[in-house]
Amino acid sequence: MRQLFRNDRMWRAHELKGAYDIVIIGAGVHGLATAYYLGRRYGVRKIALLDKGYLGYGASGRNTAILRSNYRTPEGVRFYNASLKLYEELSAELGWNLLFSQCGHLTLGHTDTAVAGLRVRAETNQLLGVDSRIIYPAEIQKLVPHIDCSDRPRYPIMAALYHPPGGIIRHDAVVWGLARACDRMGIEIHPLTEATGVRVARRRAEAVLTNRGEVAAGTVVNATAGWASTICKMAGVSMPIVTPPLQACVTEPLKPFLDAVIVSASLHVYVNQTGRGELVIGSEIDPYQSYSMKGTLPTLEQMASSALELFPQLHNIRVLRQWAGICDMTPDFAPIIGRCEELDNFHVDVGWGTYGFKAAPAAGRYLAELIATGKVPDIIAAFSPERFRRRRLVGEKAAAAVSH
Amino acid sequence: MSFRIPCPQCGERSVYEFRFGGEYSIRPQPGADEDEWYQYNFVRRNEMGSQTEWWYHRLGCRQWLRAVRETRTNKVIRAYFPDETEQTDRGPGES
Amino acid sequence: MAQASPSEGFSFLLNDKPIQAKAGDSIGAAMFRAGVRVFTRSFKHHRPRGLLCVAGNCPNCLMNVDGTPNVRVCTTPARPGMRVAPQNVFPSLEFDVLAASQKFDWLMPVGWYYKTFTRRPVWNAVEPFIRKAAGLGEAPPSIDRFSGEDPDYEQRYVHTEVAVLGGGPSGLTAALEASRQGSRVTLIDEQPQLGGHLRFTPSDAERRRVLAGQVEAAQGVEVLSRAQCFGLYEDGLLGVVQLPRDGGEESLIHVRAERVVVATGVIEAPLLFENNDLVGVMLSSGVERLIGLYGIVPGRRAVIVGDGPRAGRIASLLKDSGVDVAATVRPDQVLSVTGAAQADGVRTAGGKIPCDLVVVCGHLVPNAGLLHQAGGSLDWSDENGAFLPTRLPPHVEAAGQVKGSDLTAAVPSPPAYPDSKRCYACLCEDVTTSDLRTAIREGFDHIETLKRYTTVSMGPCQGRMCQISSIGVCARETGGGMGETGVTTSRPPNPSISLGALAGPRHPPVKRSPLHHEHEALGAVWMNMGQWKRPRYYAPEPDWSEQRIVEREYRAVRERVGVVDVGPLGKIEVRGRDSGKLLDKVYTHRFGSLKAGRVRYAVICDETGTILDDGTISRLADDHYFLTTTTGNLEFVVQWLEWWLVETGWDVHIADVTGGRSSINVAGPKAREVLAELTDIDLETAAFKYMACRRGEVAGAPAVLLRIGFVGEMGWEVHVPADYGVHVWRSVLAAGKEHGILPFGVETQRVLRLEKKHVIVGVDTDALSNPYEADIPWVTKLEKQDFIGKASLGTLQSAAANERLIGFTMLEDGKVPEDGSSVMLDGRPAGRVTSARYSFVNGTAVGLAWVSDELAEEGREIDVRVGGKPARARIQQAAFYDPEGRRLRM
Repeated sequence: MRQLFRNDRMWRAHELKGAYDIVIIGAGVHGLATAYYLGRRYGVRKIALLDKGYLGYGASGRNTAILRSNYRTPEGVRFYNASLKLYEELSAELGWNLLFSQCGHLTLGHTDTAVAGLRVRAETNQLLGVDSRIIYPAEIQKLVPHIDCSDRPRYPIMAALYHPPGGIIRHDAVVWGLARACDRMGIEIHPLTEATGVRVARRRAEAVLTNRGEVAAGTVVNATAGWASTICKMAGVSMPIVTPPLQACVTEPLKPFLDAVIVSASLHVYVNQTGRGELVIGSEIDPYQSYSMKGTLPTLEQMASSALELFPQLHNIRVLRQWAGICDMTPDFAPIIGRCEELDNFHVDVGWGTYGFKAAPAAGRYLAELIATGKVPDIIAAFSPERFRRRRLVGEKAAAAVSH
Repeated sequence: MSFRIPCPQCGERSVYEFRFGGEYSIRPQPGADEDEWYQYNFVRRNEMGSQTEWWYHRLGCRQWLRAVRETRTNKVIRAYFPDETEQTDRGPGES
Repeated sequence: MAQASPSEGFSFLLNDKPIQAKAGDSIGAAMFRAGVRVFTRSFKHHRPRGLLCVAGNCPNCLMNVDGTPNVRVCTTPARPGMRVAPQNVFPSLEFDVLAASQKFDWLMPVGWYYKTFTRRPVWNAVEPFIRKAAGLGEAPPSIDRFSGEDPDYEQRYVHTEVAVLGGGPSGLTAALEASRQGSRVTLIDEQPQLGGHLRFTPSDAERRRVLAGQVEAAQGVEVLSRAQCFGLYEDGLLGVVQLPRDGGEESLIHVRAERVVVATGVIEAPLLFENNDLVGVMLSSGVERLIGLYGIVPGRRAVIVGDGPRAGRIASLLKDSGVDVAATVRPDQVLSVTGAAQADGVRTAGGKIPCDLVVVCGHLVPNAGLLHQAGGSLDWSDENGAFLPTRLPPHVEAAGQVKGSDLTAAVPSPPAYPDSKRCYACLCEDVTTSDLRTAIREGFDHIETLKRYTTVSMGPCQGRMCQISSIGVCARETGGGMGETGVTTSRPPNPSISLGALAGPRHPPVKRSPLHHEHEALGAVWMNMGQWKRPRYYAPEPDWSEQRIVEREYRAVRERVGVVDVGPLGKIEVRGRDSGKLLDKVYTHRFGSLKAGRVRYAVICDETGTILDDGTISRLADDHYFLTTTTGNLEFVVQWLEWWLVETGWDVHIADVTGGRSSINVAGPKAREVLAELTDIDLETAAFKYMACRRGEVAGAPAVLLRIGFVGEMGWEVHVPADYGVHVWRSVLAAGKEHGILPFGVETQRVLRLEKKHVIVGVDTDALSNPYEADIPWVTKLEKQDFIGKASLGTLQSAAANERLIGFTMLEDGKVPEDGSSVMLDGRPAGRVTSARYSFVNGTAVGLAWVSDELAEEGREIDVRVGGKPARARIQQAAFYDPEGRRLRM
C-alpha cells in the first residue's frame, strides 16, 4: 500500500563505465530477466544492460502479451510451463503488479488436420501435468458466448484446445517491474545506447562498442529480438535466423465481454480483450523478411476479415492503431539459448520468433544459471545453438503456427 | 505488405501478387563438405540493408525473379529475371 | 433503420425522447440545439462531458447510435428514426454513481494498479471488478442475440497521379495546380462539401464558392467527399475511409498515388488549466462550427481564453451571433473554470467572471500524422508553436497550415500549467497534469514511456487532443525543449476505421471439383480440404451412424467396386526434352530412366532431407510426364519445379492442369469389368501392369489412365478434361450398377489406405520427417548423380534416428485412438499417433505413429492413450491388409 504513495524513481540513469563483468545487449524482458536472475540467485551485479531504444521500444513493447504453456513437444512444454509458473509468482516477487490475468486460452481448430495437431498438444500437455484439453463447440460457446460456433463461417470451428492457466499480462509492466528490481540491485540499465560493434580477439568478445563509448566485458550476451543476426555478425557469429514482421492492432475500448484469449491457427488470427477494454487482434508473421516496423494495410484488412469470421458482430467496432514488430524466426520455431561455439564468452538468447514474451522468466533464469555455473541446465539443452549442425531440430513448428 | 515490386515482365505490381522465395545464395557443388551444406541450409545473412532475394510472381506472369531490396524501407531497387543478368550469378541448381 | 438524407425537419430518439433535427444537422448539433449539454461521462472519473471540438477529434460526444458504440455524434449526420443512447453511464448522463470515484482518486494515482494487489490470490479476486469498470462502448451482442446481419461494406481501388488530402483552401489550390499541369488528381475531403474551414466562417463564403467551383469544373479532378485518409502506407498507398451520402456503412478506398499532397490543416487542441474539461468549455473552432455549420448559438454569456487577433475574431463572431462576451483573458491568467456539472464562470486573480460558455483559443496543431507515417520528421518550431513536417520523402509534400503557414503559437512553449488533479491533459483516459508529473518523477521521462505508463494519447482521440499538452508537460519537467522531447510515433489508422470496412465484402474462396453437383445429388456430407469441398462420405439415410456409412462404402470397395473423386489432387504436365533431367534433379527417385508407360511413386525432399511432398509421376512419352501432388502442396510444387529450372537453360515446360482435369479413381475386384465396358484400352494385367499408364478413351472422352493402388485394390485413376468429368462419372456409375458400385468419400479412402499403411504427407509426416524415419527408404536413389537433398540423405541414411514412423494394431477391442493421441512409455509421452481408424479386416483399430527410436521394434507392445487412459497395442511393420499387394496386381 505504501508503494501507492511513494514516487521513487523506477530506474536510475548512469554514466557508462569502462568495464563490466557482464554486458547484455538488449534490455527487453529477456535481457532484464537474465540480469535479474544473475543478480538475485548468483549475486552477480556488475552488469550493464544496453538498449538502443527507450525501455520497451522493441519486441517487449510490441507483443500482444499472451502467456501459455500448451506447446507441442515435451521439451517445449517443460520449458514454457516453467516460465508460466515463474510468471504466476513474479508480481509478488517483484513487488510490482504485472496484471497477469489468467483468463484462459483457446486455440481453435477448423480442419481435421488442425484438430489432430491440437490433440497432440493436449495429450503431451496432460502427460506432463499441464492443464489443457480438447473441447467441442457446445462447450466453446459456453465459455465464449460471443464467438460464432455455427455453420455460418467458411471454416466452422470443429474443436479447441482449452488451456485454463493461459492468459494475458501487461507487457510494459513486466519490463518496468524487472528494470526496477535490477536497478535496486545496482545493475545498470542504459537505454538509448546502441551497440555498434563487438571487438573480438583470441576467441573472446572483449568489448562492446556503443554510441556512448566502449565497454569491456567479461561475458557478452545477445538478448535482442529482431536484431539477433545484426548483433551476432558484429561478433563474427553466424545464425540460422530470418526476420519477418509481425503485426497487430487494437480497437477502441468496449465494456468487457471476452474473457479468454482466442487463437485460430487456420484463420491466422488471434483476439483478446485487455483490462482496459480494448480488443487486441493479431496476425501471423508477414511472409517475407523485413526490418520495417510499420503496419501495412493488407495485413490490417486480413486481421479484420479473420476477426469477423469469428466474431461477426464486431463489424462496427473501430480500429485505433496498428503496429508491427520484427521477429527472429529459426528453422524449427524454437529459440536459440546458450554459448556460441565460435567464442568462449559470447552467449545468445535469441530466435524467439513469435513466442518470446511468455518465455522471458525461464529464459532469464536458466541462461543466468548457464552463465554463472558454466553448465547447461537440462531444461534448455534442446535449444542449443549447435542443434542445427547436429540435426536435432525441435518439433515445435505445428504449435507456434499462429503468432501468439 | 503494401510495397511494390517492378516485375520485369508486368511492371510495378503490389507485393501481394508475389511469393517470397528467401535470400539468394549459391548452392554448394556436389561433393561439398558438411560445413558448406550446413551454411547453405541453415545460416542466413538476414541483411539489415540491401538484400538480393527471390520472388515468384504467382498472381501475374508466374515466373521467378530476383530483386534487390532495402529491407529497412522495403524499397525495391531493381528486379530482374535471372537469365537476363550480365553478372555471372550462379543459380540454385547448376549442373 | 437509417434512411436517406432528409431535406426537411425530422426527428430521432435520444433514449426515448424525440429530438428535432434540421436537414444537414449532425446528431450532436441537433441535440445541442434541443438543449442537451452532457453527452457522456469520462472513462475513469465519470465526469460529465459535453461538446468541445465539434469536429470528431475528441472523446466527449461518444454515444451509442443504433447499436453501434463509440459514435462521434458531433460529426455523424442525423437521420430520421435513429436511436441514440449514452454510454459509460451508471445509471444516466445526469446522475452517475461512479462519479463518486473522484473522491477516491487519491487512492488511484497514475499507475496505481501496478503498485497494488501484487499477491496472486488477491489480484485474482480483485481483477474481475477492475475489469468491469473498464471500457467505454457497450459490449457487442453475444452470438445468440446477434441478428446475423452482414452489412454491405464496399471497397474500391483508385489509381491516380496526384492525391490531395484536404478540401480547404490549400488543398483546393493544390488540386487546381496539379490539374492545370495535366495530372490526374484525386481530392480527398472529409466534409460533405468542399471548402474546409472556409465553410464555417461567413466572411469566407465567397472565396469558398469560387475555389470549390473551379475544382468541380476542372477536368481530371475526382473529388471524394466525406472521405479521410487514415494511413499513408508504403509506396504511395493511401487508406481512405468514406462515409456514404445516404446512410449505410462506411467504405474503404485503396488509393495508389504517384504523388501525395497533404493539406490537412490544423487541429485545435485544448489548453491546460484547472477544470478545463467542464461542460461548457469549448474550443474556438468548435464554436465556429456550431455557429457556421448549424446556425446554433452556443451560449448566452462567454469568456474567451486567448490572445491577439484570434481572440478578437472569435469575439466578433460571438457578438454577431448574439452572445454576450463578458471578457477575454490570456491563458496564463486563468486560475480555474468554476462550476459543478457545467461551467458557470472563469476565475482569475481578479475574481470570478460569471459565464455559461468558455471559448478557448487552443493550440493549433498541424494535422501532420500522415506525414510522420510516410517517413517525414516532425521538428519543433518555437515561432509557430508547433511540430512541423520536414524531410519528407520525394513523393510526398505538405501544403497550407499543416506545414506551418500562417501559424502562430497559442501560448509560449513549453506551456505553463497547474499541477492539479483536475487539470486534464488527456480527456480520453482522464490523465491529469498531476499524473504526468508524478510519472515523470518516477522515471518515465521519455515521451514514449510516459505515454505507456500513463496511457495518455492511447484513447479514442488517438493523441489529437492531448499530444501537444503532454509533450509540453514532459518538456517542462525534464528541462528539455519541446523539440528534444519529441513526438510519439504516428500510427494508422488515424482517424479510426471499423473492422467491417477493413474486411470489406467477405467471400472466402471455395474450390469445387467438376463433379460437385453429382456428389450433392448423391447425398454427400461435405468436408473442407484446404479450400476444396470434398465428400467425407455419402449418407444413404440421415440417421445412419458414421461407422455404418463408412462400412458400407468400405465393403463396396473391398468386395466389389467403388469410385472416388480425386479432382482436388494436384496435377502437373511436364514436357520438353529435358523433363527427365529436371525430375531426376528435384525428386529423390529416378525418373529420367523411367520407361514410357510406367508410373512411379515420387517424393520431393528439401536439401536437409525433409519430405516436402509426394505423389505419382507417369511417363506418357519420352518428353512428356504427368505428375500428381498432394492437394495442399500443388502450388508449392509448381513453384519449386520452376525455381530449380531457373538459369539451367533446360528445355522444360511446366503446366498446372489441376483445374483443367476431372480425376476419379475406380477401385475394387470388379474395377476391370466396369471400366472394360467404357474403354478399348486392354486392361488385362498382361497388357496393363500395376504401376503403368496408358492414354486412350473412356466413355468417349480423351483420358489418361494410371494403374495405381492407394486403397489397396485393383484400380485405375482416370484423368479426363474437366468438361467431360460429369459424363465419365455417370458412365462409370451406370456401368458399375450391375456390379454394385458405390461412390466413396475421403473418410472411407482414409480407412482403406491406412489398412495398407500408405503414408499421407502432411498428415503422417511433418516438418521434420525424412524418408528413413518415415519408413520409405526405398524412394531415395543415392546413386543418382545429384539431386535436391542428396547430401543430407546420405548422412541420414546411416545416422541414428530421432524417431520412427511405425504401424500398430490395437490389442483391445473397442479402443480406437484419435489422430494425435499420445504413445506412452512409463506414463511419459513417447510418441504420437498420426492416423488411426477402426479396421474392418483387422477387427480392432490400426494406425500409424511416430515413436522414439528405442520403441520402434517389430512386435513390441506399446501403450496408446485412448480416452485419457493407456490401451495396449502392438507394433507391426507389414501392412494390415494384403501385405504382399496381391490384390493390386490381379
